[in-house]
Amino acid sequence: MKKLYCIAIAALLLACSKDLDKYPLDAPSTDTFLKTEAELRAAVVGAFSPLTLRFGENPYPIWFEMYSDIAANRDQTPHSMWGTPTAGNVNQIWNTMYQIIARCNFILDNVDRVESANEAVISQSIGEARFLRAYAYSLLSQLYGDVPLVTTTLDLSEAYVTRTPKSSVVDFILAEFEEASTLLPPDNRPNTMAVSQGAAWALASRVALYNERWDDAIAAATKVMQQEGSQFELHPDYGKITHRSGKTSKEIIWAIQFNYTDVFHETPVSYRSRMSGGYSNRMPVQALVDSYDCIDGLSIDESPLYDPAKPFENRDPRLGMTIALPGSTYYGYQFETHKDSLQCWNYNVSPAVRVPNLDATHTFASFSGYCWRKYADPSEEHATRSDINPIIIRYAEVLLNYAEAKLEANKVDATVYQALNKLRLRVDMPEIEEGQSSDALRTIIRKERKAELAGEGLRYFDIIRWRIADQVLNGPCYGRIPTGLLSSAPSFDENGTPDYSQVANAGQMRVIQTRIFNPAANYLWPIPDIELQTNENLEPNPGY
Amino acid sequence: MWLLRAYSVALLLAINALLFAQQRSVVTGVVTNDQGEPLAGVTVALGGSANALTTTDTEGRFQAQVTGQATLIFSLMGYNREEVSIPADGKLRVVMTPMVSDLDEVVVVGFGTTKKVNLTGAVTAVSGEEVAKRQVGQTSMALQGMAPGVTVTQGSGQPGVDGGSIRIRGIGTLNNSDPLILVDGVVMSLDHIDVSSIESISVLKDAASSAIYGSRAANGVILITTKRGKSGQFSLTYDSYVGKQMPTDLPKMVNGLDHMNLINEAHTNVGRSPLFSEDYIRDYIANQATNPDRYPDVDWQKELLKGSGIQQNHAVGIMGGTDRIQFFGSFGYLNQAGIIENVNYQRYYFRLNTNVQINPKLRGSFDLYVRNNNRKSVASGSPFAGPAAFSASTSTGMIFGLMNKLPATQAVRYSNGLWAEGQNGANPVAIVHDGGWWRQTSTPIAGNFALEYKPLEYLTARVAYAPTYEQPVTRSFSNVVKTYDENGGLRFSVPALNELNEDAANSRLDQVEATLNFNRSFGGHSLSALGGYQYLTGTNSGFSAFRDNFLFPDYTVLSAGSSDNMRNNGYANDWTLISYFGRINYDYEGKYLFEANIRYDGSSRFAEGNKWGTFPSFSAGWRPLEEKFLSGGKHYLDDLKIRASWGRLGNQEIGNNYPFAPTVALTPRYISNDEVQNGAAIMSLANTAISWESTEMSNVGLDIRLLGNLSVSFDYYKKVTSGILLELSIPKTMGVDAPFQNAGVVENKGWDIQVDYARQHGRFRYSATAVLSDVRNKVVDLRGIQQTGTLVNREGYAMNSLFLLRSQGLLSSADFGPDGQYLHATPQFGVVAPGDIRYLDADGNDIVNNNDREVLGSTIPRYTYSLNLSVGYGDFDLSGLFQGVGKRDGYLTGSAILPFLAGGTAYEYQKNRWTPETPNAQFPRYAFGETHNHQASDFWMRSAAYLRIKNLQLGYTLPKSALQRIGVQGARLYVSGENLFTFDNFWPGWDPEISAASNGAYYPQVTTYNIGLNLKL
Repeated sequence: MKKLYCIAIAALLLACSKDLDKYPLDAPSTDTFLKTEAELRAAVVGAFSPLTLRFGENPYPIWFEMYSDIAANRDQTPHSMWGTPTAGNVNQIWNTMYQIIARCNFILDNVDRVESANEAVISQSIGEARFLRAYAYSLLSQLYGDVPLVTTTLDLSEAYVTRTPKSSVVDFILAEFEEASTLLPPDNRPNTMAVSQGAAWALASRVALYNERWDDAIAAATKVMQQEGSQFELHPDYGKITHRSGKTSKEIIWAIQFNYTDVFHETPVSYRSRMSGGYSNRMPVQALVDSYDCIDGLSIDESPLYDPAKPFENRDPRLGMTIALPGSTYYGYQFETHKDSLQCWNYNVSPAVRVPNLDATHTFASFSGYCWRKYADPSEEHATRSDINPIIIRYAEVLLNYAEAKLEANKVDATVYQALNKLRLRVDMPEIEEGQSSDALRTIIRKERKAELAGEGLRYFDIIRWRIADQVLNGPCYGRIPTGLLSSAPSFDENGTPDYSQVANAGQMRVIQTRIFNPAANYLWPIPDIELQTNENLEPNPGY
Repeated sequence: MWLLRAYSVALLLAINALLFAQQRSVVTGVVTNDQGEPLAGVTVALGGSANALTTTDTEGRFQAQVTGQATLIFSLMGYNREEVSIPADGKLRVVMTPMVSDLDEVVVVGFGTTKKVNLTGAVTAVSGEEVAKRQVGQTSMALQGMAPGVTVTQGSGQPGVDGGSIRIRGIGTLNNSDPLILVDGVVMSLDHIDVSSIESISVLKDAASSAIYGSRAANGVILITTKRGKSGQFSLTYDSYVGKQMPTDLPKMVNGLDHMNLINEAHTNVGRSPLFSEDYIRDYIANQATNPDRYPDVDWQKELLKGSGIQQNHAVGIMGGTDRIQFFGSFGYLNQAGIIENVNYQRYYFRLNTNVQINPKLRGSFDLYVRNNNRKSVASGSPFAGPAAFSASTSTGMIFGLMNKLPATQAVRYSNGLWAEGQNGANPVAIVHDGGWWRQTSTPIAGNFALEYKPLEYLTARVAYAPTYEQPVTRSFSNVVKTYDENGGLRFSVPALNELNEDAANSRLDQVEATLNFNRSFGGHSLSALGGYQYLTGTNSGFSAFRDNFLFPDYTVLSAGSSDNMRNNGYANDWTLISYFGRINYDYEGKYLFEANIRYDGSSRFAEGNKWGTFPSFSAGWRPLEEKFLSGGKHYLDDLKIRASWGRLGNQEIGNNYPFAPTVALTPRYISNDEVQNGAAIMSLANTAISWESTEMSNVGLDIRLLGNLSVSFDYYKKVTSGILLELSIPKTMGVDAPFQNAGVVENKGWDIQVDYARQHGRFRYSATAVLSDVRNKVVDLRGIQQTGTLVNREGYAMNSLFLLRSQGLLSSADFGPDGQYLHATPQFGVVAPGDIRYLDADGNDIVNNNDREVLGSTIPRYTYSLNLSVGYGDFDLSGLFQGVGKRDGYLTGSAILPFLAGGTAYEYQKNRWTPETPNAQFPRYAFGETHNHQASDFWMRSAAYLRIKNLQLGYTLPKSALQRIGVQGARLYVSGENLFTFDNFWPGWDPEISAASNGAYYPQVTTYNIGLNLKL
């Protein structure tokens, strides 16, 4: 009898103990991950996914523009966004890029477990992982300088890594882009997550240029340029590249993907004018407006075509396609920011009517008096939903990279002028004549980059690598004169940066914010505070 | 004060005694208890003499001959002795009150009850009557100030979620610190139970008393016992109150004109152009009265706080029983309307507790509990649609955040009836009206079926099965709020599309337990033993669904939305806990007390090899007065007990149900060709070695009862929690989230004291309970992780400490050199100018940055205290509950401290800012868009200590004689106020109880004024 009890109790215990074996009901275990082709593709999607990182309403590449001298974020100065080791942007870029790297490393470490016969899928996936990882390192090294180069999945015991010299990281990036280009398909499909081999070359040209490896830059850009016409070409309508209709343009080499229903961003609401339902808190500034040449190819302080009373006439057409200028039509409204323009036309109704003009009277109407047209497409229905893909790189930049690399390598030839003039011809600007001096050509190229790429998040990297940030990111950042126009054109330095000191009524310009840039520290971002605390093997950047 | 009154009463009695000293008389009278019921067998003696004159009869009457003596003494076991002078007419009416501490008082402990005198652990008992005095929506708030060592903190006054967070003896873990709450042995939220059906509450504070609950007891245990019927007692009670709620405090905002001038100052101070032109301000002044649409001067608080705030509560209880069947049934209804419109809470509550004596050896009980909760609030954001202007979890918080932020110069609603834009389309008044709604309905059902078999007098076997079901359905409809300019032009439509989110959850908890109880005395030895088994299993599942673009926003069911973008989601998880436990109690002649507990728990939340944990405890007590050699002291000392205990507890509430399991998340998404692609990724490192958090706790205590009416209970404890699950920061370069590891150690040391006193002099009665406790919390080991937020856990300091720069006043021009260069260590937070805060360069490297932060404050309440006073005279009673915290640092962030942040305005008190003309101002200069002054620094830290008049109540009991004729046994009317006054030194307008480092976006605590009725038939 006693025995029976014991058995009964033991059986009870045993049965119960089994109930304690419980495992998640909604997700597979890591042990088996990356066995099938479907899992491999899902892992690649998982690696791309962090690219949709946003700061506020804006995907990060667009937000980068607000770090520069040609744009402003009403709420924050550039320094407050990246000037301290605890700044949100400093931490988020670091974390997101290393998240991408870890997911790519996992794919590359475990891809040989995949039981699939489809070699094409496997090699494309490897190519995508290598491409993406190299891109993440390119951003990290550009912002933070020396960064830990992690290329495999680490155990916690191996995780206390040190910073790798930037030059070694760049070597790695360029080698990886080269390797990836052999695995990626040639087809440029800019509205998909598929990356082409040309994208790897294009980014390689950028990284090489940024790191003054002129020959590498020339070589990479050349490979892309060889595919002009087949995979890549300039979009005929400059103003539409960053609008919805441009999403499939062959000019776009690689863009971060959004759609209207699942993963979208809210850039338009932060860009649009008050009349068109936006809050205009990210805006182009006076220094950008004045940087565009006149249609004769001369800067506004030199061109006879420039009339300070009609400052937007006879200007490089890219000015009006990049920026909503006072007097133009923006989202169906007459866009006026002169403080006395109490009424404006509403063309959205027929016949048009005069309505009160909030872009003049609203307290938080654009502080600069200008709004962006890039990434603000009037065909989008809702200000808080945009599916325009933020461009990481487009063909125009490759041409500019090529030209600059050839110049700095002292290998200027006719192809340099051809590359530049392709961009200028598209917008009916006069061609650059051959035979420019090195200095003159450098000024031309730097101005051309500013004009062509404004609003696309690349200006910040240019002023950093040209070491001009301490000139252009210090002191007041101006908007227009609220109730008037500048009495004369500013003067320009060799980088095309306007100087208002000789303009009689410059003091009337609206000061949007006063900026500081410490050249001893700010050419690099700080290493995130928490990272320094967690990993004692990391050294902070100088000055932080 | 109270002492003074007692003295004056005593003096009066003495004078009486003198006056009537030489008279001879016959005295007659009646003795009743405080309920008016006659007391039989009361001994009546002459004052100063040991001889009894007589005793009362069954109707409480007595008659006695008195010669030359002036006072009579009435005594009865279990009641306070009454000494009464003889009135001139020789007729007496004596009311006797029960003793506060009765030798026979029984306290509920884990899996049983024990006599209070035999307790060896630290247990505080609170009677149901005491908590029922309060007019609070959630029962957790009724516990505030009721028990020493129990800290209840309220973060919000929103109906339905205005419960408090309960911490017993500090915070022992970085994870879930909520105590285990058992209602009649079944896990349930304290807020699920209506105060009117509570018989008693026991708070098990030390490891010895709670170790029987093993792995769930580390944060303390609260046992609620509900009322049950008693044989022969039939009654119907009706308790009700109606009241009005209003915010305790609100910051006062500046008016429109001030706003414009001050924000201009904030702009020009940092080299920006003024925001408002002089012309505009001139026009504003001239036209404000005639054209408020264009030149508004709005009081946002007044515009938003238009909810009725009316609350009403009704509870009916029926109790009755015969020898073999007893029952208690109760029904409750609570309705609380918010102080803003569109916020409401409604609760229906139903309970039936029955006991059946099936045969002399077998007894059964069957309890059923149903509650219907309906909570309504403003619309909450969508889990699907990504970030939107509506933030998901803090919808009412956001509304109040906007209320305390928007400038008076922004209109609410134009004269044409259209809404103004608020903050870029977020107009809190418009959102409350037109933004849709959030509704949650849940109807939890719990049953408790138990059989008790008593084959022998000393042996009891019990089995019980208690299932609990809950199926909350949450629906949120976010409607498009359209805002306009003053001429009717559309400004914003937020969100872009209206949308409906529905979430149907389903949770079930099954508890099976079996216990065997042995209880026997042999001479002076008494021994009891308990053995038990418990099986707990829980499952949670649910799904949610989403559609947007409802063309007809009045039709808010899913099928009315567009099918273009419909989504759904689902989840499921489960857990099991299997336990064996035992207890032995031994005492010798009530002198030496000893108890030992053990629990052996197995949890599904840990991997093989770590599933099982053992949690033992030991405690002992000594009552020296029972010793013969000390019995002489008994004249003034009624009882004395010295206690000591030690035990180990566990915590398995460590985040999710599968913390050990490495899984692949299927949540990452990316887009290709405008179509969503589903991804997979490993989000975090896994740690299969995860196991229990373990808490060891020692306690010594002292219980004293003296002078019949005064009792004191004191405890000192030390509690060390180790193996705390920490998300140890790992280098972010690993690209995955950190795994949890059993690594942290936290220590709590503290003491609790409770003093009770009650007396009655004729028709005058009074009582006081004072409670005071302290806890010192210290993080001992975090494996070197040094957190760097504003609220941090850092080794050597209390948890949730404030990690701040040390401020050194405001800078003046003397701090700058002739060329404007700053003369101190360079701060790295942007521009610095006279009038900014000076920060200490703590690490002395000539740079002031976040590395200079230090732990400068603690947010854990210390010296929590309360005083519960009640005084009655005849049919009137007056009671007051004073509750407070003696030491705590509070901190505000964001727009609560920084004027004009992100579209905000300023508060009146912030006008006291630095300008060249007012260099001694309290606050730094206004600096629009600069971040220097709102770095986390002790400049913004202030004491959040407070004293609150938590409840003040005046009651009148209707004369019994009048009521009995209409069949009413008792009726009492009262007026009461909750949260009446708060004395504090925190920032003006902000409640000192709000969570530390709040940006002010919270539903404020409320003051309520109530009138109520207690009726007994």
